[in-house]
Amino acid sequence: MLRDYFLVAFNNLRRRKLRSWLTVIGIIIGISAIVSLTLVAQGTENAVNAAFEEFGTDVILVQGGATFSRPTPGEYGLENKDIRFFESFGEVDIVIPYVYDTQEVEYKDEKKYPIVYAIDTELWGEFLGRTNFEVEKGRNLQKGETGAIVIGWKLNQDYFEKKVDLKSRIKVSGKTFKVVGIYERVGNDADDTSIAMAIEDARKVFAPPGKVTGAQMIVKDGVNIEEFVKELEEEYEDYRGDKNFIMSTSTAILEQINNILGIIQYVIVGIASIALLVGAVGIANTMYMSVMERTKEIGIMKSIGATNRAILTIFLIESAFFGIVGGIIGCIVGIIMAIGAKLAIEFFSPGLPFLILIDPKVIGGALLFSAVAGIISGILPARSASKMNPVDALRHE
Amino acid sequence: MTKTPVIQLENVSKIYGRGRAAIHANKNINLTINKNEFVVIIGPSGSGKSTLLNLIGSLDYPSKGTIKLDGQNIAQLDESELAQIRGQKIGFVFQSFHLIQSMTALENVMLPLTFQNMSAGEKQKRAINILTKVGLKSRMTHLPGELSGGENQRVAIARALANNPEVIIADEPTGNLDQSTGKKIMDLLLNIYKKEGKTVIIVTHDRDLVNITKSEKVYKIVDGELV
Repeated sequence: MLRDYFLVAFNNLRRRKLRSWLTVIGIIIGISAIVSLTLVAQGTENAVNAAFEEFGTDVILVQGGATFSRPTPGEYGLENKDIRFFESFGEVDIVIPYVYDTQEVEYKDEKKYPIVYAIDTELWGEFLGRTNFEVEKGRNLQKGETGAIVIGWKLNQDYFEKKVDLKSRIKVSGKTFKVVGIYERVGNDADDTSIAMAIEDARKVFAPPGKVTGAQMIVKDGVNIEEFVKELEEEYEDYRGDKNFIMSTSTAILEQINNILGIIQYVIVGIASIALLVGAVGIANTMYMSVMERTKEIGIMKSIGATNRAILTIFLIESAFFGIVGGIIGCIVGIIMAIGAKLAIEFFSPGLPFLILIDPKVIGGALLFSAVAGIISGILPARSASKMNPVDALRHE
Repeated sequence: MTKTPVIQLENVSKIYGRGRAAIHANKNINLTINKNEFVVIIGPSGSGKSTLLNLIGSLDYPSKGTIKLDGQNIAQLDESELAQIRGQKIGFVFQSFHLIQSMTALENVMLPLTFQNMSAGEKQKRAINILTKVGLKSRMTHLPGELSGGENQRVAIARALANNPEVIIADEPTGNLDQSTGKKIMDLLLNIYKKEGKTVIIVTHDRDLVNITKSEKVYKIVDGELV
């Protein structure tokens, strides 16, 4: 019997092809927005997680006088004695102090202010192994090498009007340096326009003596990093005499970022759901129109033995159909859009390990959501159809 | 031959509206229709004959009085039960055919069987059988729009017969047809009465129809009352 009701319902949908498709489009827009945005948000989370995986989970970051977990350029909040304090802990394997600052950089009479960072060349390999930076052209700084710099990808492109290349000479804070290497593209402008140099050079040119912006501590194997960082934080606070520093682990930062991404995801999906709501109102509208136009037909069906329930079922099948078909096509369109977004992101920031996974939970949820939206928006029109008085309905022209 | 009553109306009134604005479409109607009768109800337009037909066909509940269909008081049935019984025991034929325009003749005839839960194969077999009987075997796959008025009314009669009901109720069945086509439709209805042993009730304003049917059971309705 249900099969016959399906036939009757599809017959009606076929009859009003254009209107049926327009109604379905409303749902397609809502569902594809939800699916694509969710997949892109998940992809972002994957990218962030992958970046942190590279960074490692055995790293403690510390910055003096910092206000946010990202290094603040130009804040020289750690002194040599702080570094020695960290090194005194048995759990700590290596401490890598770094300088991170914006400096005036001049090339062929053009001045810019990119980020310059500096590290002890002895620790260079340790540091690079945990970042996205890979040398593409030329070479890295060698141990003890001074007067040389490695530049970000964009400096080799169009950052300065005249192209900077290997062997170019650039003035940083008034002193001339020779370019010995160029990094691969990372994907964000701050990193791609940065300049790396030896910490000795930085001290000669701009950094105050005996001070750095922050440090990375790599803990020894087998150390429980979460417990250790708590202990270190307390002891360092006593040592320093103030709380004017930030200390965190890469996992803690990752958690924080994931929390923020999670909130963003909810907000985005919430907004996309409004599109679906509009689509559902579209279904209700179409169904009401259909009920009005078919009043006489409803009367005919009732006069030849259709019960209220039969009429209700026929109309609900129609509205569920809008929801389900809109949901299926919306999922396909959403996946295509997410893949398009992935390609665009890869084009603009090729270094990001952006991965779109087609999560069956997302697809299943979207399909369920759309079917429910279809049925719910059909309930009122279908009820009004089923409750029609056959005599009045038959008289309707 | 003992007569078995199929439809009994006792002191039936149908009132639309309330108080001073109330319209008495039917007043105190007493009518018994027996099995295998050919009944003609005649009256001018506005006399309440369509209202009466709806009551006889259990499409509507009376305001007062009782209506029994096969001995069962329809007031005791809810809408769904009534729809079910209507589907099984009564077949309607309307003046303007009331076919579903988007369905073929065959699908239209199969539709009442759908509401009775019949299997697809049996439905089709029965519908083809009936359409053959009314002379439309070659026109089964046509839509109502592709058929003539007479053919449409034949499809409607076939649909009314689909569930093999005891009663066929026809509301001005020839009203939209020319004279010779109307005559053929009346012959078909008479045939159903004579050969199939059905009860046929016709409502009309056309005196000539009464002569065609030569029915002994003719009721006249004026201002909502049987006279």
